[in-house]
Amino acid sequence: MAFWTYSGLKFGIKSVKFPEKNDFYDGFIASVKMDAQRCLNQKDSAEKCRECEIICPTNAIGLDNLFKEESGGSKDKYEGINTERCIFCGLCIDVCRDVAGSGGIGAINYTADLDFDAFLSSASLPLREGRVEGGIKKKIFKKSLFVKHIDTGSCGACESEINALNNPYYNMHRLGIFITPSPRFADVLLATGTFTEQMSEVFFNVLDNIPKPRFIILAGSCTLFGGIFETKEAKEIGFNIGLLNSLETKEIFRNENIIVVPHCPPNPFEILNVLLLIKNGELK
Amino acid sequence: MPHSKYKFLGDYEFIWGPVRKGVSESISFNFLSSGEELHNLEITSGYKKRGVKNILSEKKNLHEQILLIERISGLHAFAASLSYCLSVEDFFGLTDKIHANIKILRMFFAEFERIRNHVENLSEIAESTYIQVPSALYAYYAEILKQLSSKFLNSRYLMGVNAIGVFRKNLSLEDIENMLNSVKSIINKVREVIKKNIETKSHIDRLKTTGKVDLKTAKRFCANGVAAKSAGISLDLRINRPYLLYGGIKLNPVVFEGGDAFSRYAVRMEEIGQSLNILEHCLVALKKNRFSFTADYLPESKELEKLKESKNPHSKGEDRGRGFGYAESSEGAIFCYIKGFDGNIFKKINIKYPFENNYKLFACGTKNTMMMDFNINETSYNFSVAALDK
Repeated sequence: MAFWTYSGLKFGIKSVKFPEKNDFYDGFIASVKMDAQRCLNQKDSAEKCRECEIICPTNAIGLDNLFKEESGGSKDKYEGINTERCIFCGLCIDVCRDVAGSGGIGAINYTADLDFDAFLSSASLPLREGRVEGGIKKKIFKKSLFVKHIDTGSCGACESEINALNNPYYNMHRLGIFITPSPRFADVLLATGTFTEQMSEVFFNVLDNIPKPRFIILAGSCTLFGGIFETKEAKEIGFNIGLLNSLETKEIFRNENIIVVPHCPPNPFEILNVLLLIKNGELK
Repeated sequence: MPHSKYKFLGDYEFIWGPVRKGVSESISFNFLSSGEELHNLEITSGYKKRGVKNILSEKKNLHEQILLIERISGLHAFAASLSYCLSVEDFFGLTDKIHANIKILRMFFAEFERIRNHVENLSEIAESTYIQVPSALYAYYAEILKQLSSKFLNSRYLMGVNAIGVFRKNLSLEDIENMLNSVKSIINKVREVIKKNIETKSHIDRLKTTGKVDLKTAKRFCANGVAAKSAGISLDLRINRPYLLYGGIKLNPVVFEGGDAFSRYAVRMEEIGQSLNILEHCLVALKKNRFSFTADYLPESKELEKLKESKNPHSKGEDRGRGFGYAESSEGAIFCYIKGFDGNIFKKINIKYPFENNYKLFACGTKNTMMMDFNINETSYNFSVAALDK
């Protein structure tokens, strides 16, 4: 065993400096964004193209929301893509490159900017509806943060990304964040999956056992609206459309602190970022 | 099997799941135990049933069906979407028309996914025997492999890469070469850890004879993938029923006869080396075929539309056939059977993962083993509950 201790020391520290420094790995993707200057749907442009809107499998693109200047938004702020519904499939990027006049580059592309403000403003939407007074901005948890995970019908990729937080690269233990086996010790419930009918009772059972104050993180597109599994029929039944959309959770979530982490699957950096914001009481 | 058949005086039952320790998928285990020894195990699945078959029939086009199939089990996204693409190409009669370089690229990334899953599983097995350092090292290398796929394919889990007849990401020969060099260097480091791990007696002793399954039992439950190979059954679609261009590579079957957790561990270690050889072969073949960019092999969209039209039952007034495809994932064969093409999508898609048979084998293999070894036994199979429940 001494040999492994030596090997571990010899291996050295491989952890990232995040959150002190945004030292993301080469190829890190945080969002899909549109370049307003390149899009053929600019107000003054004669050409109109809706290819990306048509092909998007989750209806994440709304070209009618290109510029929000009328509603007080900046002209530079391009809101064609709804971050919460984007699953990173890249179909919009492919069609945009193929459209005549795009020059093979396209207006839509993956970006590495982890835009914390934009990310949190979308995340705080449900918070605004039913937030616990004074429960967000102040630092609630003085020491370590304990997280209980529950899978309500995911594909396993979200679990793999959460598990990755324990590897030496992210090493979330160094930041005082731990996964706990029991809901009774948990501060945060980290949920993944589409919210199946079979898991509904189990979910509420686990939630009941987590002491207040508590946070619920909905990780991945599936928990928000069902992701690629979203169907009309599912909307009628009320299951497989995500925890956030489900009628079963609507009343209960009014009195909970809900944080959403979109994308399919969410990157470990995104999950880690949200956990740190909760731990440090920096949620806006 | 029901507990009543095995219950003796002093035995007690307890349920573990569907929400278990740490970060795990939802499944319930009902144990019958007398304390240390596990006498029987009942597995209850279905907590994650999303009704994939019905959802697939409601999609708008083939792209959406691929995206959904990738997300049945995220860890086998490439192999599953490959089996679907091959079945669609079989349906449209495109199998022989796909360019050899596209087939080679598919082989390259299928093997890449296998390597990643095996390395990740080695980490889990090391953790289950409580040796944290090698577990952390394997997990680190698996993470680097994920970052590598994110760099070149914009997805850590090889999602959104496969499409009918094409490869969706634009890669150059240099990219493939760089990727292979990085994988080689990672695998060399993984091999060093494996070498030291094999010498760690406390690790190997816990794996040996744990969850032993004999050849007869493995055959009875139609074991698949790693579980079959570890029990002495040579079952590998790449060798037995070659698809893509696997027929042109000389592959030796990886077979061990122990049937225990150590044999499953050994199969994974051997397969990592085998997959690396295939990656090297792919690069040589690409160079030989003068591959430069994937974008050079985009099919004529009009041609695909014509094929769709010719197979559209509404235009011809009859159902014109069915398609079948398969791919070997890290855990075994994934089969895809499609029919009922309506001009846009396939209304009936049956996709079969190896886990259904392996779970039954696992329940049988755990009988009369130690409760303490349950975690080792489970991780050595590397199940995907999502693929089982669908």
